[in-house]
Amino acid sequence: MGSHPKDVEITDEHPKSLLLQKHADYILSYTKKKEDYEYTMTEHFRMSGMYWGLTAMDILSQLDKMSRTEVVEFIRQCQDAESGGFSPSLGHDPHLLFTLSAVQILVMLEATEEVSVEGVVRYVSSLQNEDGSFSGDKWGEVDTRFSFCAVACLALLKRLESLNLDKAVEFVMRCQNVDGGFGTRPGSESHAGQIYCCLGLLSIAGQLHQVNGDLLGWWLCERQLPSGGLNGRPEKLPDVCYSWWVLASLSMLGRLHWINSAKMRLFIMATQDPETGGFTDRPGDMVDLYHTLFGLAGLSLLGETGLKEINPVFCMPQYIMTRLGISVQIVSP
Amino acid sequence: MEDATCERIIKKLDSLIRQDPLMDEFDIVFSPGEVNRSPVVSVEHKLGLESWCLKHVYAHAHANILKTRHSKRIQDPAPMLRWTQFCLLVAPEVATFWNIRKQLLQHGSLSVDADLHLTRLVLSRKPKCMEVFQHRKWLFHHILAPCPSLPSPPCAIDHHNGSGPDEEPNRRFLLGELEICRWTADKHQNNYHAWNHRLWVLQQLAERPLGLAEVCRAEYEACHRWVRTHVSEHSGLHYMQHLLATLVTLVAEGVLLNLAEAVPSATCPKDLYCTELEFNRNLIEQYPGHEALFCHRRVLLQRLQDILLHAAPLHRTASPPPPALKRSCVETVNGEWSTALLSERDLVNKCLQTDSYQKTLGERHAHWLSNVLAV
Repeated sequence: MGSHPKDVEITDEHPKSLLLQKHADYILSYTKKKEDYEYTMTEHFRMSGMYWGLTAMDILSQLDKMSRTEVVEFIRQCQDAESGGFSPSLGHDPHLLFTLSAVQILVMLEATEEVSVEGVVRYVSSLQNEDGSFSGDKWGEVDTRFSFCAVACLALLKRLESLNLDKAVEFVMRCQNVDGGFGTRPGSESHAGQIYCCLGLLSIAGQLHQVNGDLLGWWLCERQLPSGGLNGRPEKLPDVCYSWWVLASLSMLGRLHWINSAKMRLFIMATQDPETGGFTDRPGDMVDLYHTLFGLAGLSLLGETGLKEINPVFCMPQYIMTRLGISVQIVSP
Repeated sequence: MEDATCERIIKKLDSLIRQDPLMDEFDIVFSPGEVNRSPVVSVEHKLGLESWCLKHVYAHAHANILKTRHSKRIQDPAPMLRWTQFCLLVAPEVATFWNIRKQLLQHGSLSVDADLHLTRLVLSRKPKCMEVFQHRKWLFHHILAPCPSLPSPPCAIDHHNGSGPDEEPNRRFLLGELEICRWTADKHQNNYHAWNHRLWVLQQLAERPLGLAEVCRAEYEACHRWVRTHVSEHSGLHYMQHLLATLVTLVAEGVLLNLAEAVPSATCPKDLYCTELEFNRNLIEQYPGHEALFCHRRVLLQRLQDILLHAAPLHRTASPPPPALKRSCVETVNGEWSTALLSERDLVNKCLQTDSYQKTLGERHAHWLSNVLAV
């Protein structure tokens, strides 16, 4: 067999084991830098950035090193009094993406009473359209990612009855393609990130039986390249974030064992930066919080020792879901 | 850097964009340090900004946007437009800044043309920026062609036949949008957002029967040309799949008279998919090792299977055919499907004889054939 034309090479130079403490130190140091240009340039997704950092710290069992008061105060300030939604940071507009991140953090820190839950419920349910889809904000863009954000948000707040779940499922099913995957809207190309969102929504709704698990599972497994890494669409380069989107999707479908997990693990390990800590998209690139969370979350799904178990639907530590009594549908293998 | 200097740079950039509607490219030009000249350069409709000034000017514009927004009263929109323009040229992912411009557009403080120009400049630098495509879509739905009842495309066909006096500019916009999609797809490989935008444009055009046949024919040909030179790009192939399905639906719904209006060589859906399968097979053999081509082939095969085996009753006349004829129909249809499958076996065998990546793809194709088509 010839080598794959679009892949990366993992060598002996790359890390082979988990540099656990390095990652915790990287995340901690990230939260301390507040004055530079980079900080300004990332404020339009800060709320999600905080969710990535905090969740990663929790998986690493070092959540106590983060300042709960500071985080909760920031989130409180980001709730828009009028609409009830959350913005990524002060002065920006509310959006479902950041509303989910805020709710995930609040649930993780047991701090939902610090914000207006009624406001969140009002905001989320106001964004559902007649066809069951969700707009991301008042400007109207529709995307299955936003459907997941809305349903996950209200599931975490135990207020799912405030939206039309049947309609939401109906819309997501209209976004399924012949290859078994899902795209952003009806007719859009299948994409592993969107597949995760759609399966997540179906799992929360208990509707995974509507999906042909063999067909989709096979498509997902074909994302694995000889290096062990996963891409998100055919003939794209591998990227560590897909180790989450694809592995979590396979977990929901009860087919995680279809992947070569030993190679997958090696690929994720190779995306660690042994000097700075943190994970990159591909070996040798620059680290960031996003890839750090999804690298760790992927390893957790594969059962890496030293990491807390993660929930494949909410991308939050499982003990939190157990504490809340929230269960999701997983197809039995 | 002083505020006055920042303002001077922002204004210079703004006046250059305003003065030259043909300005079609923007980029940030690397420069090591501050020099005694303006960081804004413009040559032959190309606009450049030297990197040394970025941090200072962005911080200035950014702080002013948030400050002005916080005070909740924008008396003179001009500075706000310049600041957001500067910030979006540098960081077009900041949705809030596009939202500010949407508000100003709704209040009539900003022209659509200005934002069509700005978004085009941004795309020249970041051709896969999702927020830009979203903004252009919003401009169409809310400013250029506001529709009283936005969703539900099926009834839209009944409401407007695409021939009203106001329709021509909209049609022109949508055709121009196809060009933007082609251009951004060329600039960035596997550009999901560009192709997704094109899909939306096609959906809009499909609701406007006037001139639709020409549009479909042009899109079909353009797609073929593109695919021939981009065999590894699944996004383009996926668009092709959507286009084929759209053509079949438009004919079934009577919006297009017949398939040949768009694809002269095809008289029925079966022809169309057989032609596509052959075109795809030639590419697979000519350019070995491309997973995207095989993924595309699977979809074509599934559609052909639907047409031959499942949709066959559609062609029945009002009274059921006599049993003998019925049987022979089934046999003909199954015969065609068997021929198609034989050809797949032949393709797989050819792939298995190679020792390149094509072999792996052939093995996977065989696996898929047996698992999904139950061959």
